[in-house]
Amino acid sequence: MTALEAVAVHLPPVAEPIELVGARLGLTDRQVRLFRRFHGLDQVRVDHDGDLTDLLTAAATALAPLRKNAHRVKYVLHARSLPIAAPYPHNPLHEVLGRLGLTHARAFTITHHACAGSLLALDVAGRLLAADPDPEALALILAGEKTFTRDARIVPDTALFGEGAAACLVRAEGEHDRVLSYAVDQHGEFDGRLADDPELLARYQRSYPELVIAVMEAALNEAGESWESIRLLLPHNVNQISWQRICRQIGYPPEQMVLDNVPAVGHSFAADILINHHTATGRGLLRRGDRYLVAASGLGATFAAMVLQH
Amino acid sequence: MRVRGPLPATTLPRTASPLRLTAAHALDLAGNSPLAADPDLRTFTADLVRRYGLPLDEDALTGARGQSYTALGELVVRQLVDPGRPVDLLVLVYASPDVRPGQAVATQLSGVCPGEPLSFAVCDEGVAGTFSALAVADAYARTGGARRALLIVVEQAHLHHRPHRAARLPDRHSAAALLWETESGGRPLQLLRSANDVRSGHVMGALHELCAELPAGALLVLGPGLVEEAAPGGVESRRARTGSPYTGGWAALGEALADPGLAGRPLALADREPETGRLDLACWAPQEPPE
Repeated sequence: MTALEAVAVHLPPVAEPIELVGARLGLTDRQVRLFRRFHGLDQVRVDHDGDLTDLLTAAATALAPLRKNAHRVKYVLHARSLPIAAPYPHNPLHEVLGRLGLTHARAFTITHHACAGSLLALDVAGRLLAADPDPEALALILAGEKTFTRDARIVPDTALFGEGAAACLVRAEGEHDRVLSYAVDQHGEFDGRLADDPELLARYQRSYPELVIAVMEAALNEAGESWESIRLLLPHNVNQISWQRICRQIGYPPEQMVLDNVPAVGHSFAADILINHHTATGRGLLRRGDRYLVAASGLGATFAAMVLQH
Repeated sequence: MRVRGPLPATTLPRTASPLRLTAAHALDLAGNSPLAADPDLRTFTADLVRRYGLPLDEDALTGARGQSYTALGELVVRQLVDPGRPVDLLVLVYASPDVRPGQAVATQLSGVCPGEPLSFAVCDEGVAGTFSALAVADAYARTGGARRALLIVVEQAHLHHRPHRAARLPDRHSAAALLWETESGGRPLQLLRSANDVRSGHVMGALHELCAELPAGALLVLGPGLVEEAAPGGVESRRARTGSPYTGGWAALGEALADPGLAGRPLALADREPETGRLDLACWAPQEPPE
């Protein structure tokens, strides 16, 4: 079954305090205080000099096993929140392939699941590899985006975006980290510009916890797991308060959830769950055989969860 | 909600694709979308091009030109998908930007498509994107993820910035959609091949090499990306219209599919994305009657 061979992360060197980000966005002092005290945000990682090609190349370059396995990479998928990320016909993804010597691979962007897109990319990559006649074939998933416009900098009253990036090598079969289940729930009725539509924002915020919990429990059920058997929850880094509330609602211990990157990195679009996976393994929070759950939601709206075995 | 468990082991040896092309539909949509007049389009485009130092296209912005991929997609869904035959998977493909660039169109389309399928979009691969979507649909069908899949490719005619170099753009707003089923009937997907980094001057040789695998009697549709290439010898071919760089090949394939005189012959489509040099070929067996 689908396995994550390796995960790497690139965090841009600049960490901007949210007060600076808020000032650029024209937020009031009260709004910024709300982000800091209530949502648990502190700083966001950004790179004012580099472009998307630089960002994704840096993430892939950090993936040490990629160098000696580049010839095995048959598919490259950019899991992206924003449907458009560069002025046509600029194509950062294919520029990355050129820099990495991967032009032999079939490469495309997977989008319209917003920040839940990396879970979808894992599903698509897993299926492409499972159907591929070459059992040694690999897929490379890239995630990470530039905060180039207001909608890519802020979700009103909810999150501030950062430019963390990640890369992940996927194979059809492997000992770890194996994908046991995937659940995804799409709700087009929430598509729209939340910044301009307070009623839509309110409806989305009201429905959010219930829909997140439902998709996580569907993934658990499919994998034959329960909250008691899940060692770790790796959520997307939208903020701390929403996940703490969800933990209270389901009775899951909040200390078994990786939220460290919310204040340290910012909500890095679809890269969050890979960044948090890297943090969890780097800190030794997972032992061989542990089951863990990753969960994300994306504006538009998509809710997704996946159970994996370390 | 769509839920799946562990994927099966790699399917070796590779068996024939379960996907059968059962219907296709293409359309053009005249006029501009009201979304082209949304001031957010100017804001987004200005932010998008800033780093690249590109100017806005004031004529396109003030003229509110452009069409919506949601509008195009909804039209083909309504015209192609029978509510009695729900779809499990919907893949939207585009290369050039939507007039509403931030919208999760595929998610919207899932809401109007019978079956409320898992839906997502594939982009940044030019004309090769639809061949990738076909490979993705094939992979979902092989791994129990889809019994019925809908691929939709869309293109609209206007950019709202001035590109840094000549860019392939359609001369109209169009959509082409292909319906795939795994049960019976239709045309089984027989062949999906590609060659990468095929540079100008080498296209004919690479195309000839790929076409050597075509079954006897196949009719080959040459996509718009092959407009400058001579037709390969030894196989009957016809050309797609070049004014629709991303939908044209699939629309021409749909026309051939609807031609009862071609029902007994294999159909093939080849196209090349000039930006990346990827050359793709797909072939479908003769029409089979439903069981």
